[in-house]
Amino acid sequence: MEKTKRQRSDSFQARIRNTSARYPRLILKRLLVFFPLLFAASLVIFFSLRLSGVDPVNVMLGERQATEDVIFSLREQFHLNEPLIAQYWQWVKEVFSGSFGIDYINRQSVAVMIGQRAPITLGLVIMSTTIGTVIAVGLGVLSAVKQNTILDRVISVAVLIFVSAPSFLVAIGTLIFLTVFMPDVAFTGAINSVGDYFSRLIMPSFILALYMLAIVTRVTRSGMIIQLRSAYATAAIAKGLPMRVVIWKHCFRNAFIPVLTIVTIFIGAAISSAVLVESVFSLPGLGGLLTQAIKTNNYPIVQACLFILLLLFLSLGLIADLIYMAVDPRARIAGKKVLT
Amino acid sequence: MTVEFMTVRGIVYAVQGASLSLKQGEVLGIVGESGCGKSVMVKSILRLHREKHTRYGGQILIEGRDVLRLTQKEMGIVRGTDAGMVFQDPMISLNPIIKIGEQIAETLRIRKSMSKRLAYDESLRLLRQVGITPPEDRYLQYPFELSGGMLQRVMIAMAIALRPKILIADEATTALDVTIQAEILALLKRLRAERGMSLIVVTHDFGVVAEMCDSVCVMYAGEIVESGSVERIFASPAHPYTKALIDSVPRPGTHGDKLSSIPGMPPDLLSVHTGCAFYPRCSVAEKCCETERPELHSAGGAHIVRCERPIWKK
Repeated sequence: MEKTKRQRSDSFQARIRNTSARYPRLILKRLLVFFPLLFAASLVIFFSLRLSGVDPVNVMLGERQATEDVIFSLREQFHLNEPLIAQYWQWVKEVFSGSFGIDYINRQSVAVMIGQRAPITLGLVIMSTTIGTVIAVGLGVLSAVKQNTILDRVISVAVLIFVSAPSFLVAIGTLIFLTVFMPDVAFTGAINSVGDYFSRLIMPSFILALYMLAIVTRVTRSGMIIQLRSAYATAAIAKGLPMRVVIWKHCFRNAFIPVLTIVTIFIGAAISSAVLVESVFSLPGLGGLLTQAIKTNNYPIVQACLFILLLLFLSLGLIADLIYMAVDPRARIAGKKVLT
Repeated sequence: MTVEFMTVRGIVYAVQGASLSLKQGEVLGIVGESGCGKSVMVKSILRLHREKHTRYGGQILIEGRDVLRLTQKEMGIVRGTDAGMVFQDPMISLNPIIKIGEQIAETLRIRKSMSKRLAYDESLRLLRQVGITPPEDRYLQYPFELSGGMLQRVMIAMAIALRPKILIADEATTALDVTIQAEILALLKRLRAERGMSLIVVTHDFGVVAEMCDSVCVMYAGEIVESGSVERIFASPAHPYTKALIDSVPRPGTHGDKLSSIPGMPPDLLSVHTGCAFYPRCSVAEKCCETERPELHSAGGAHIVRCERPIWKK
């Protein structure tokens, strides 16, 4: 008796939830695009670096002199005597084994070096995108609902000011401001604990987030205004739903679709800006490692950094697409993006 | 009742001095060309215009309570329970990314504090009542998976979910093709009978009025120019505009004759007109019609007309 009742309520839950059989297939299709893209990107990364014509052996030796024997053994050790395509294959194997090879100068495992620094950049990009989206969406919805009021104008102007100011200026300004007014909290310096991690990252993330603030706020605002005026919003009000539900459940979900597209574009910008912000806040992220490695022609590190950043970019794009499918049934069921 | 909109081009006098009443269970038709203020008037009943740019005047009483004096919060209770509304284009009046069942059930959950389970069952019942089968499957579908006629049925289910006393159908069949139109009208008729609701049918089609309504209001340029029982108005239309509208409906048996139409367009409501609004298009107009605003006259009983030279006088 007890069992049948549970079964009934289970099937009820399953019924009112979305059980579209095509969803998994679409995700699979999206993943089928993901991997070829990653492969193509890896080709570009690897071969474009070889175009520079710098001999890795010179990089390894630096100013030192070496005998033919030493040079030969170095070539042997780093597979440099093999054809380029074989070297590429070697690198692919290293990537898949997770080692990313050995760097030319310090002879350390690239994976270890990246492993220490990647969390900073990763955290920076993810936190800034999240912070930026949340703030921008909040401001956008607010100014759309309060359209043409003083509040709406204030938001527009404030957002514009923050975006027009160069980010390094805002970064330094914020840093001075915070160290003066909150002297007890260390916003920069070594990272020894999880707490440190967040207190070091929160401010740079915020500054990075400013990049996207203006445009995402604007897109949210105009999207929301269109949705609030739409026939379905009027119908939702007419059937007696409270304004709060009409705004967030009905209008916002529709307005969020183009916002998501814009945010995806800004992820790329956030990754490249992260390099800059890291140096201002002296954060030991991938940015510093990458610029240093480029200067010294340290290919394994450059390759690995670029590969990781690309992976990050493509993954976040993938996640955005999955959210897209979750939000928009037309993308999920009909299998097409509907531009709104 | 008056409704005025503040726009960048000036004040639009959308509805002026319109007055109508509706008894319980009655079916009232509101007829007129596009831009005559029909929709504006019925939307005012639920105060669906943007408050910031709208100025209401007069009063709208539902069971003695004036909705124009209510706060937004009180309006939230009036909407759906005192009056429900079905809109013109069902394709865009439903949220494209929410399951149709959920769009019915959410109202029940929020307004009637029903549990998920109860709201689900009630929604299925409503879907069945408006003729959507099988409701369990349809419940899970999205608007883009259904046809226009089906969506209009869903809209009706949504509008009657809270058992409103009045159901307003604002050009509810205009966007649908003729056979579906007849089905929807039959559905509205049946629901009205089953639930004892009053019905307001806004249309530009006198055929719909003849089929559905007990009484009818004819609107022109934001004014009610004639109102009365359907039989009466069809038998002896008093206003030249009403007569012209009725004459422009194609009728069986008149094959070969040229269908009459009304020359010209309804006036721009940005300005207040002096004299009769219909004057420029009127076939029986006289000199005084240009300058003197016509008064409301009784044409016998509840039959009222706003014309100084009503047709029956000739």
